Formats: sequence, C-alpha cells, structure tokens
Amino acid sequence: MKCEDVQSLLIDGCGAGNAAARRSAMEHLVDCESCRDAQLAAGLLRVERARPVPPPRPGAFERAIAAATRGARPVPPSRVDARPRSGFWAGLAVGSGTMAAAAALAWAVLVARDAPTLPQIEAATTPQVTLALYEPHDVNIAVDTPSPLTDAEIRVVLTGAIELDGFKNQRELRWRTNLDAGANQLTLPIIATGSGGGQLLVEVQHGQKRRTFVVDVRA
Amino acid sequence: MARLTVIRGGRSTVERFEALIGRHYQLLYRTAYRFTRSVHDAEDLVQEVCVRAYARLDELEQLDQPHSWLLCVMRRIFIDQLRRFDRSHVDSMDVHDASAFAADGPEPPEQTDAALWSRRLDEAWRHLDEDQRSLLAMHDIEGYTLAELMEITGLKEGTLKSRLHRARARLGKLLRLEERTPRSMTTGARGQK
Repeated sequence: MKCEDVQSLLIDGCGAGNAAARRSAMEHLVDCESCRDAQLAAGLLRVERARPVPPPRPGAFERAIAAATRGARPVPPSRVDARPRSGFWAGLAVGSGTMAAAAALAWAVLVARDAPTLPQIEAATTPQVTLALYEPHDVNIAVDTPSPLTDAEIRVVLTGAIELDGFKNQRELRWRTNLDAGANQLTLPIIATGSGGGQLLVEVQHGQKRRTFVVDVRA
Repeated sequence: MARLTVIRGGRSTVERFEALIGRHYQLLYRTAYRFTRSVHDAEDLVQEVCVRAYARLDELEQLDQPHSWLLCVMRRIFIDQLRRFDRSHVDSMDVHDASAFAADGPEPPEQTDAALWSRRLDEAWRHLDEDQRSLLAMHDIEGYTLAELMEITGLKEGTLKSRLHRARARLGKLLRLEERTPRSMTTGARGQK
C-alpha cells in the first residue's frame, strides 16, 4: 500500500468503510514513520481548523480597494492655475481655440499621475498623448471653472483604436456630477489597442452651455 | 469637492469592484491568514490579490465562481513572494536546530493545550515551503476538497495527494522533533549563551 493511499484512507476518510483496506493501512502505519508523522500533522491541523481566525484590522478592506483602484478613484481637485479668471469655464479650451488656448489646454488638461513617465505632449492645436500598446495609462483631465457647477453632465467619447480600461467595447459614457470652483480632475484609464491610436473627446455641459475638447491618443 | 467617476449602468467601476471583492473578502482574508499565520501579512496578501483582480474586473464578473480565480491568484502571489523574499527563512531539516522549536520556560501541565500546539505549529509552519503551506492551509485547515484544489492549483489529483503527503509528513516530523527535544537540554543550551 502506498503512503498516499494510506493517507487517503486514514486522514481523508476515502474508502474508510473497507475493513480489509483499513487493516492494511494500519499495518503500513506500524512500519512507516513518514505516515505516522503525517497523521500527527493532520490531527493537529484538524484542531487548527476549529481555531478562529483573528479579524483583519479596521479599514483593511477599504485599504485593499483603494490600493487596487488607485488612479481610478476620484482624485482630489488641485488648482492648476490660481489666476483670477473672468470667463466662464476659463480653464477649458473652447471649440475654436487659438494656438494659445490649445497650449494652455495641453498644460492644464493632461497630467500623468502615478506614471513612471509623463505622456508625451506635443505642441499642436490638439493635445496629444502617446501610450504603449495594451498598457492602461491614466490620462488626467483638469476641468477648471471659476464658479461651482451643479449637476453638470460629462460625456466621454472614444474613437479609433483606444479603449477605456474596464469598459471594453463601450465608446461613449455620460454621467452627471457637481464641479467645484477651481480645477476638478477627471482620471481616464486609457488603453491603446492599435497602432493607429484614436481620439478622446470630453464634453462638459451645464445648462445651455457646453464645452468640448479633444485629445489625440497615439500608440 | 467634485467626484468625477466613470460610471456604467449607474455603478462606477470602483463600486462594481467593491461589490465583487466584498462578497469574497472574508474568504480571501481567512485563507490568506491560514497561509501566512499573520494578520498583517494576510491583509497585504489580499491587497495584492485585489490589485491583480481590478485589472480583470470585467472577466471576473463573468465567472460563476470568481473565488476560485481569486484563490488561484492568491496562491501564486504567496508562492512567488516567498520564493523571492523569504527563501532564506526556509531552513533545511538537516541543519535546523531542534531547540529552536522548544517553548520558553518550565513545562506546566497546560502546555498540551491548543494554544501551545498552535505556537509550535507557528514555528514548524515557517519551515515548510510555500507550496506545502498553501496546500495544507487550503486542504487540511480550510477543508477544500481535492476537486476544488485541482481547480485552484491546476494540479492533478495524484500530484496533489503526493504533495499533501509530503507536506504533512514534513510538518509532523518538525513537530515530533520539537516534542522530543528534552526541555533540560534546551534550557541548558540557552544557559550557555
């Protein structure tokens, strides 16, 4: 009789109803120190099974979730430009923005967070970010407003070979939120799925006013 | 403070993830504690599993039994981490000083109680390799069946039985070695230090 079979019989109870097999296993046990050791351990582990497990420390679950979702969590707004502004949504690029506006947008809008390298931002009319293929990368978008916006609608549209991590095959998302005065940060985990890249459109609407901007994503 | 969260179907990705992990957190933590025999290490292990799981949320939500995947990942992480960082703590039976297992102080009658055995088990446990710890924790302590272990580990039944036997035999030998260590010899050895 093999040691594994003896253990199946005596420890796991497999085939325990077979008296001949059980007698054979007991005979094996007399001569096999390894199986006797195994029996000793199995008995102690059975006792251990009944011992309660100490509970995790308070907040352990929340810490685990926070660690896992870092980057996807809402990030506390940070002021990217404290200068007084007079225009509505001064921090957003207007649709027909000038070069100067686009440059300001590139600076204000795209900030890599917790990334080993900053996304490449090129001086162009449309902000650009270059990502490695199939690697999620947080693109942070700062929405700067001089006054609070209640119940604003945010719409994100993806075109081309890019995806929002966790939203496979979903090309458009929209939701409503309140924006504080100052810079509000939106973190979008983007994955480039093809060498052609794509475009990320973010639109913020409040009442009858709407602002849209586009980010080129290159792979 | 604005909360800008990507939302799908009324629930954000984070909320979906919280809901999924929340259903399995106790199981994960308990199993992690059995692996590590430490609250702190168990929390860290579960946290690492969560980090891996978040990247696969969509796939996990499609599974009927996501806990099997989570446990499989947990076991791999546990094994990898021990191999990477803790290999030096796994001593050979041949070179191990048996007196290190001995309990402190005199030998009161209550030394046979469960707490003392648990402490001895703590000592012996550290001298098992990572695979042995995880298998014994899941099968002999947590009560997973061989069929469940086959799914979690990807090992065949015969291989599992063989590894379980070797793990138990090694653990039993470590415990027996400790039990047979004469208390006076241990005390004397300490006294010479």
